[in-house]
Amino acid sequence: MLMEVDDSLPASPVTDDSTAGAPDADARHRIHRLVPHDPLFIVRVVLMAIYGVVYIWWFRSRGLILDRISVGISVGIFLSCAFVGKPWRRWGILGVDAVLYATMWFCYEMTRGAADRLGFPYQVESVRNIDRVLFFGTDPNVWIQQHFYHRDDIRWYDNIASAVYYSHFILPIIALAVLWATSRVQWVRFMKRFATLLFTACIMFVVMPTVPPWMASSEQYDYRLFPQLARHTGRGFQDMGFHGFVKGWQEALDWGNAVAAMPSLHTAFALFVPAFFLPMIKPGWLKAVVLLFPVLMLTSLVYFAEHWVIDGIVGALLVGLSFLIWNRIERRQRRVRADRALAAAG
Amino acid sequence: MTPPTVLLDRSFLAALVDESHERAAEAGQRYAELVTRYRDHEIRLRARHDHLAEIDPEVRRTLLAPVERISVARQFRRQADRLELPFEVDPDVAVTLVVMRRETIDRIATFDDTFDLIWLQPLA
Repeated sequence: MLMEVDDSLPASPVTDDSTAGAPDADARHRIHRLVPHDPLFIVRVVLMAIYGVVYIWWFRSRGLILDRISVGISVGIFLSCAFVGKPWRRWGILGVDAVLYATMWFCYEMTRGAADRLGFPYQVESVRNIDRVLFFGTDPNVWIQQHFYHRDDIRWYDNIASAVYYSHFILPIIALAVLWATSRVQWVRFMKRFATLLFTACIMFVVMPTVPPWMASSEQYDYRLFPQLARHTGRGFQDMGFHGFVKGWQEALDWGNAVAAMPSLHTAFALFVPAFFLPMIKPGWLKAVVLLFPVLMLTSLVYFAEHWVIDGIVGALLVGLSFLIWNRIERRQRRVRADRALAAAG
Repeated sequence: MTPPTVLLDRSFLAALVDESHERAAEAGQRYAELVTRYRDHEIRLRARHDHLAEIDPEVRRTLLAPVERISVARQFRRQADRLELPFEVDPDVAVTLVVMRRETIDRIATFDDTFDLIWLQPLA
């Protein structure tokens, strides 16, 4: 007999032969009344709510938590709240997952930091030329700044663009932490695709170090492909009262690579997170709105002269590739296991 | 999205892996349907690790290849011991009820009549 607990169904006699003789539906017990909730469930919820309040306060007063170690500590505190009272085995799995997660970021930072020192030629004109072809001879970075950027005036869209830009440092972390706390199956799915994206991006950083538009136009460098572009990423954010970053250990982890423009991970992450959650969103209009976010991100990046348009397009293609690869692998794994089971069943 | 879990109960597993069981044919037929739905990503198949441990490893590797194990923590057993149920229940079934509650599982494949006492619907 196959049974499904369904608290929402109206009381009705069960018609399946296998349940003949069973008590009337009205007389049956609901499982959540028979088995009380995990006693520490409320404690977890309260702790996570407190964490959320403190996080927002910190964000507002001290700045955005940005460097990997501070982010790691922050996520660690959140997960400790989310796992209070869970079985020790869950904690063990969480520990192993956390080590793998930290290793992934460490490898990423090391590779990204070293990528510009491995001798591959810098891409400057090539990416500029691709953008020109895409926009029929116009340089999108130059055009957008000429039409919208006002040096002495911060407009409403500066605030929006800046907030969208900085969401890169929060959105994927929140998505990961929430998945970690709620569904390890989904966390693993997310991480497989995410790690693939980071891995392929690192390969591109190594073989294709790309000078970003602000650098290509800067008078401090020899490229000077355009008149100097403004790199005004932070001013909209500061205008809204956010004071910047938590620096802390950032100096100790300063493996920054200024020529890691290709692919744009800002655009990639902005597409990755909505794309991952897209199957859970039902209304078509909401899906469309959610998918506008990466477009908004790429527009902001171009406006701030942080990226070329082609960087964003390649970032989005890598996201598509990582989803395609893992969707196929997971489908194949299910098929292989199912075939093995059916063969054994005869 | 994570598809819903169908928990394979001990009574169902026993019938499935034992050809001489009186309900072996029914279990085999039901299981084949479930596996097809698993392949189509409509459901997850899961079973308690202690129930799976009673089964020959080769059978677990082949027949039960799609079945994921659920670890039964000591705190689940302690909660099961403390349960005050309005009807007589085998201690092992009480643990299964706790597992279902903790893992938010709302479907079960079982031949155990105890589950008739709980608000259950036959799966179409």
